[in-house]
Amino acid sequence: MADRDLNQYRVEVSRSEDGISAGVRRFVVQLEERMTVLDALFQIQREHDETLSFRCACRVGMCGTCAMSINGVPGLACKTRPKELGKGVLRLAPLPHLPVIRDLVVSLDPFFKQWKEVLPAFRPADANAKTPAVIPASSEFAQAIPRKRDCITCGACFAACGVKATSGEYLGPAALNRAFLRILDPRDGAKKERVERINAERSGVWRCHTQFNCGAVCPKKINLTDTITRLKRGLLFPGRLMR
Amino acid sequence: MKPVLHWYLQRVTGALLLFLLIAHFWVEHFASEELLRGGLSYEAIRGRISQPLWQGIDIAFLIVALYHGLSGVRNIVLDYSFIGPLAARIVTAVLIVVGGVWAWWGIEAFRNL
Repeated sequence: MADRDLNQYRVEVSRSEDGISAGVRRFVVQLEERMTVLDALFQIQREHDETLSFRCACRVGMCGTCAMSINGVPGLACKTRPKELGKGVLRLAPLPHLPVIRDLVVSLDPFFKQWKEVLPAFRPADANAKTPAVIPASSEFAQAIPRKRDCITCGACFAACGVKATSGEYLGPAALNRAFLRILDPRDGAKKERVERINAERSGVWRCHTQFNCGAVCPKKINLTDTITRLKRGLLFPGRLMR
Repeated sequence: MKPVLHWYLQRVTGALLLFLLIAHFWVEHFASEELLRGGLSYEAIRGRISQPLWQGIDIAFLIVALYHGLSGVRNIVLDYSFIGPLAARIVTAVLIVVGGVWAWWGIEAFRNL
């Protein structure tokens, strides 16, 4: 350890149990340059407080499990390097707008409730088809949206959305992105139902105020505001959903 | 009205407001001959807004501003979940009445010029 280049960070972690805040606990950790916020949490758990609760799984930004508020901005702990934040202090808190289970662990139930609202599963137009419905790589659908398929349902966009702070009914960016993909899919057989749901005045696309918070925090760099704007435009001019 | 039309009209009125507001400020505060000569008076203003063209522009400005503003207030109301569907409908009705009265009040002002 002695010959490694270590940086010292003060980590302030919001603690809670059964939804009741237990204040902020401060820890000091030593991290190497390429270490992440998740490494800092493991170090705290290992060396300072084994009761600290947080979630993680893949550790490489694929699963979205370790999403939390890092210095006030939702993001993945495994993809965020304290060095890049440029401060000696890390303020870690659970994702906002979601019920806290304990410490940095939130319940994603409200997120997935909205997710299910848009009928996220593929519903084939021809349920009795004997052959697979192939989408050629050269088709407009395949080429138009490659990045928008990358959502890992981490909930960061949901937590960053300013409208979600006041509206429990709003579907949120991730669910609307999912609906967008399904509606664009030429094989989809539930377009009408999905369009009805995203067109609802109190929960659909009309609640988005184009604040761009969702796209700014998305760890997969999906431009969610663009998705929602396309849906709005598509509801006004149905032929212009792709553009 | 369908939500998509509210959204579209909000944008259309926003774009119109940009033009009408600049025209309003320019005419009222910078390009008025009477103002530049130091002779701005009620008579001078009445002379201009007695013309049908200016009345049309001012009434359009009034209606566009009312729609944009009150629709914006309704949008804010709909953002809050604690305001239930019935309360939202009541707010919408109140805003329509307020908008109607305000529009009538403004248009009525041109009648007695």
